[in-house]
Amino acid sequence: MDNQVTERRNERDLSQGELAEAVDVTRQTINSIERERYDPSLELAFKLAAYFDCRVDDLFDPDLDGE
Amino acid sequence: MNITRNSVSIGKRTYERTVWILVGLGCLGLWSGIYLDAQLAGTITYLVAVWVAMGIAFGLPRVTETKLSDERDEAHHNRASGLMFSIAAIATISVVPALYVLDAGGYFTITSTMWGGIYVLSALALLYGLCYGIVLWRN
Repeated sequence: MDNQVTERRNERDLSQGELAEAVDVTRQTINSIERERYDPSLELAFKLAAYFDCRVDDLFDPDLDGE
Repeated sequence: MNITRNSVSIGKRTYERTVWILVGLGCLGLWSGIYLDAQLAGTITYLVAVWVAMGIAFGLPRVTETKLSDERDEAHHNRASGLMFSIAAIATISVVPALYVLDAGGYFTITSTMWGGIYVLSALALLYGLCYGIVLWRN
């Protein structure tokens, strides 16, 4: 799934490990999300959105239209 | 950002590698025991290594603040379990009934080793059914 996690994380000058600790997952999970190899659970998506103070659909684009 | 200090500091990769290396050493010890005709020593080596590995696998997450597994690990586990069961179910359903019929008709003899495999697959299917029922009941 397309996402803006890397951009948002870089804006805040955070490492993957720091973001992982903030949302209570492993660094590997953040890395997989950023590489679009893993789609987070709804709970984790909301945690990330809350952490970056944005909406879930600002952070993740499910590309439902297949565009 | 304020980073909390771990009571036991260990990374996820180190944790996973330690557990698998111990399991591997246990298996190596067991096989060595069989081939060197030292079954008791092999069994003790296996049990000690695997118990220590299980202790680390289940105990370490309780004494460290480092996140050692999360939803992604669970997703991997669920996918692998589902795939394994699908392969076992397809192989069993497509082969075992035919073997029963051929054995009954005298065209083929199911050996004791094959019976062992059939029993293992049957037990696995029963265990899966039981676990599925428990999961349904709890959700």
